[in-house]
Amino acid sequence: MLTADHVDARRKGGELVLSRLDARALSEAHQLAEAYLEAARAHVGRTREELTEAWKEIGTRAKKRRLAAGIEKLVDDACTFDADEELDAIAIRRAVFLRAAGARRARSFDRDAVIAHVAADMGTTVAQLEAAMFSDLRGEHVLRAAPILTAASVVDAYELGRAQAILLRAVRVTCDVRAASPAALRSFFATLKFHRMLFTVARKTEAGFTIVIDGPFSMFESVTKYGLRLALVLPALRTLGTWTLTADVRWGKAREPLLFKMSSSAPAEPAAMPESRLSDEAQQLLDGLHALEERSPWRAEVASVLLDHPGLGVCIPDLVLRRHDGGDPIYVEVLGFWSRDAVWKRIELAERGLGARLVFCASSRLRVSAEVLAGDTPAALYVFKGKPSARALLEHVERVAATSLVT
Amino acid sequence: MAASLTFHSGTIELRGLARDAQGVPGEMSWDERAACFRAPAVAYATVIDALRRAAISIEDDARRDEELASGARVHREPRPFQTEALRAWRAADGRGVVVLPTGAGKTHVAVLAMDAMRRSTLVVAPTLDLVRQWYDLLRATFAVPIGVVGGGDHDVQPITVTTYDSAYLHMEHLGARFGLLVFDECHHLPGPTYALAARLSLAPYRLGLTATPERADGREAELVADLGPVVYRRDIGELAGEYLADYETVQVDVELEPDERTEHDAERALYLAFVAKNGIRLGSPRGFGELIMRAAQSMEGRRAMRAYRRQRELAFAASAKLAYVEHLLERHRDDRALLFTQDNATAYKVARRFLVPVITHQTKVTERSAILAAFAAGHYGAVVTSKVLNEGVDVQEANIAIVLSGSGSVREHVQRLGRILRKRDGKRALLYELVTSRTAETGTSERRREHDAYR
Repeated sequence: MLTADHVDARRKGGELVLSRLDARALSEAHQLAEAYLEAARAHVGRTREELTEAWKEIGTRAKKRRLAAGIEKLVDDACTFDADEELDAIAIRRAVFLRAAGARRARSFDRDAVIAHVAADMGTTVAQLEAAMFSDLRGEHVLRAAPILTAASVVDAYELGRAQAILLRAVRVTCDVRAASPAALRSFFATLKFHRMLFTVARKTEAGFTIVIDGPFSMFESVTKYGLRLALVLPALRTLGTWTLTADVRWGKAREPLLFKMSSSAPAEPAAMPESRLSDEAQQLLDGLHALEERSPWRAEVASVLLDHPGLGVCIPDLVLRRHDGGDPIYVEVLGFWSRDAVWKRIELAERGLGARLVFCASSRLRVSAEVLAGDTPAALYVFKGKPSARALLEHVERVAATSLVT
Repeated sequence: MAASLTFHSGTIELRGLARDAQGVPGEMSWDERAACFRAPAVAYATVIDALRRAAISIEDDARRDEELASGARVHREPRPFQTEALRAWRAADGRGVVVLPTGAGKTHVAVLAMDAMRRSTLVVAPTLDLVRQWYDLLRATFAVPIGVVGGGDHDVQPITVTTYDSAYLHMEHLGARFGLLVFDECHHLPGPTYALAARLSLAPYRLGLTATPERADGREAELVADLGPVVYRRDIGELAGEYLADYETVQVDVELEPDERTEHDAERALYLAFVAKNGIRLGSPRGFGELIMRAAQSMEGRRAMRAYRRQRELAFAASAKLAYVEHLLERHRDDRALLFTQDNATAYKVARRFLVPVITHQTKVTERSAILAAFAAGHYGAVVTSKVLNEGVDVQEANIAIVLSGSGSVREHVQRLGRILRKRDGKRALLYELVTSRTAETGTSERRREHDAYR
């Protein structure tokens, strides 16, 4: 991933604007990407240090240093390096250094003699021993495979990476999404949850939502603690139909507060929608429920709906359970280690009525009690310690299934 | 109904009071998002005091720290200055920084503080080596489970040891669980990320330990808000002899070889010409930053930057220096020597040439531990390192320091000296500083020696 050092951006009023890559810059970007990729292909089997030297030459000659550094970083990220493990470098060093220390104490230190002795002991040659002695160091790692990328795809990644690098410095991001397909929205929310973002969702129009991604501490200090997670969300946002993004960023050494804006018209949308992933806890529950299916009347799968209470908020369940003999579905949302606020908001939603039966799963670390959703409410709160248990969840599901929905 | 105070993700929330309620502490701000008052967790102690003064009754659900089941089970007689340090810290309401030279026993001051307060404690140290040292010491001293967070472990116990890296990442979750925070080598704390380790915690008691609070960027002032003021200070000169080993420092000037001199001077002239042409004042605080910025903007600049790096490399690893290292290694073959370099490249060069074990940030923890254990046991007579052993790691037997190269930082130089000052019967420590004449190193050396310890 790129960082702020790779970004060419300028201030315009209170806004941070990415310098546009014009035709000339795009042409240079393609040439640089091709040069870095070609150098990588030519260095397969050689060390990282040698490749870095070759890349340094390309960078020194580049007209745009940041562009070159960014392209280099992306190509580097896609390279496969590993250590030459034929000889154990740590074992070699230990043997060499111990023998050398002994020789020095005995006033008979002779570098060549020490190396020759250890090489003989290890059944190798002096040259091989010398080469292997520090072969585990990063600079000595061998390039095993060059990236299977085209220059065009590197340049695309560079354009996305610049925006992500700015989001690394964000303290809050507001996304307005319009006209997205339910599946794409569902995938986007699942990505937010997977990255454990603190976010609120409010419906604006029939197919429009405003999502505010934030952290409580950000009202006091410009922390970029959430930045990496925000940056990881960007590819998912780009799969939605029409959207705008406004990020409050703290830019430069002075952490100047600026706004950074993006919209669905730029950069270009990728064709593929990222695969929706469950959080670790939700996946554990799903696996556990599948394991119990033979002995249980409930069948579990990944949920694909959004439960909306106009004016109050949206609930994004992770799983849906259905009895194999019919009946209403029971939705499950895993709140994991989210904030207590998130739990209270869900409780409020459930109490106001979401038109569906729900079980919320919250970690005991959040210090909430299952009793807050007891009684006739068609919702339950399952508080788990450590990992959530499918068996315990089913007990809550059974209770909720017996309640009636108020419409 | 009384208002309630809770901890939430590194902040404290005050609920149950109207937005315009009187007497709400100035540290708290109204948070529209959650309809409550909110403050950074670090303000907890101040907020509680202010609420009491304003006679606002609250249910305090924020603190989750606990009383230690027992105090220290091993009691070592403190040295007089350690007792004074503890007294000063307690007099400052259990908040503040204690400044003591390396080897004087800062750790014991922390143990005394933990024993005195008996609250669950988080110890934060800069490296995994130090985490392990703290863990061993605390496990031997306290009869309660000791947890570790970092380096692949996540075991939170009433006494837990962690790194700065892990502390700032996890403090939004752990920030309510400890009543006392101990920041070892607390000069690392100021800064946008590490400082979160202090600011996201509500611990009312905070102890910073360091030999050198001063930072090149002047941000040591931030320690006052995050930990408290310096409450006690003793320097090397005050403790040498009685509590620290006697020591001597020797500066050795070496000359570049003729071909090195020619290349050095050419490269230096090239980069200085760029500096002059662009009107960059290297002596000013932002001078070097400006050089980097300007150098990035043109091919000429990037060549100048390369020249800058090359002339430094030549000074750092001058042939005459390495030859003198050979002499020193022979001369001190029966001693225990630590060799310090400014950069990894020189450290590896020394390791390859003299077959001396090397520790840099690239060295895996297991290998680093094995090297230090073998060094302490006397199997190795010398270890070369760049900066990673500058602080914290204790090898009582080390008595020779050889500084091949370093920055202009007074703190770094004092820390390096501190590595060989741990007291042992009859020990006399010796620090050599090798400086390449008529290079930028001469000025760098003068800057880093601006400390009482070198006068």
